[in-house]
Amino acid sequence: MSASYADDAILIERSQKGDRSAVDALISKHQERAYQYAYRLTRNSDEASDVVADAFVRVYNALPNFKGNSAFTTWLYRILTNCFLDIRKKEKNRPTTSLDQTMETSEGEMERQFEDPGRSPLEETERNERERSMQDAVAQLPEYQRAMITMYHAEMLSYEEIAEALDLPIGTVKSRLNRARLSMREILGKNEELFQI
Amino acid sequence: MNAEKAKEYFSAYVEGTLDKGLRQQLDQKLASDANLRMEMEAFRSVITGLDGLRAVPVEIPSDLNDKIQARLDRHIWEKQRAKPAPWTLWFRNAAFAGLGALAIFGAINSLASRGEGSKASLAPDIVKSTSNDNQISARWEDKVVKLSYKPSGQRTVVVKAADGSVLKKVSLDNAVWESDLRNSNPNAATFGVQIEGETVESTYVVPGTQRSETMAGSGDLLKFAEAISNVYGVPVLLRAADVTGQVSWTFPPKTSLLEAVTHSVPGATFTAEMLEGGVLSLRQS
Repeated sequence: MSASYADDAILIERSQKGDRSAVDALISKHQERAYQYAYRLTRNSDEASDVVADAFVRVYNALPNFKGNSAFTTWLYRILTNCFLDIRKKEKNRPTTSLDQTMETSEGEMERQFEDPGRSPLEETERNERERSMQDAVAQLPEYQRAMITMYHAEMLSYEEIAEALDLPIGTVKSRLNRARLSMREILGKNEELFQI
Repeated sequence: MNAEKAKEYFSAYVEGTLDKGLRQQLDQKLASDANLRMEMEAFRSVITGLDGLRAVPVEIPSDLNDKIQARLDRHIWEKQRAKPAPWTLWFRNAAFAGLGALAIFGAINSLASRGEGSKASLAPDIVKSTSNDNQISARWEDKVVKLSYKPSGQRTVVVKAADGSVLKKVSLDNAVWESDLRNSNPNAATFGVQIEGETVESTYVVPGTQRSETMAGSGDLLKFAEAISNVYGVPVLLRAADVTGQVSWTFPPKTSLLEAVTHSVPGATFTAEMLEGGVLSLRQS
């Protein structure tokens, strides 16, 4: 059992006894990872925040029945995915914004900028374009495939963890992920130069 | 093995987990099918590109925790609101059992603080005071008024005794402040709670250990609030820009608390409502 897993177990036990500060500690500990995943699914900051907030409300409600058969993080991914799917059902045609699009600040709109020294402007442009195309392609996948792809490639969950999070047999996860990657290949086929396909 | 079937094994092939027999079949197919070889290379590029997504930074909003906590608090509040208010149950029981039976002994008037400045948030059964817009929540539990306040930004909270002396002054920076108002004196005690910068101070009147049977009186709004607390044994939150206005009251017998309070002062210039935390709110109209 990892230290993190053990820490979660202690916090969960305290939460189950009604200790709200333990719930808050769980939230603080996992909120960034949760947001990262939600953002990668939604590509929209507000929507990602909604997904995460909804997910933690569900966590709070379900904590009394959490048996600890799986890691808290795996359980959280399951809840986040369900929240994402539920929100998407409700708001099917909500527009999304790209990481590279503008962001709202107190000083008005500005370009999102991420530091990445060591690349030439041309390389940087190509890389950004490639990433954007990749993100756009992921966004075109059906929600369920998108969740799988994001869990595996961006969040680096194992097949076993994804299977647990989505309550699917490992074989099904593997075959669906393969299908999702093939779909990605089709979508990206339209932009072959960027991927040297 | 045809091309479509072969594609089903692409992931396992790239990851090196394909059975030896299938791998050999696929190798043979790839050797003989140029299109499939091209597809395989494209597939590898897709996987490389997907793996690159993990390096794309995601900016975490600075107010993420606030949003989560606000949603959770609202959920808890709504859940709590769906239940009968604890005070309602208590009062119903008390009406049957007789208020006198609830007298509690003790003579210490104290202000106990819990986890000031900690990140601990609202307890599950705390509910927001619906008529209190300064975000302080109050809950009446175990003869203690439990206050909780989550500021947005840097705020200072001052707690004063009835004579105006400062009992506590706490500077907060987005941290949750929780404090108990406890009164072990026989009669109701008054505490002023003010968030610096707010024009209206919240005055909490906490019941003492004994109940009064004096059903009529006169004085300022503060005296009226104390009378309610002394007679009915409930905490009162008084929010008024000016508490010096004189009122006369007569609590009608055998009525509910809210009715009694509302009808006790002819032409009352205040609004009374029972907050979900079991605290009676009096607001100057």
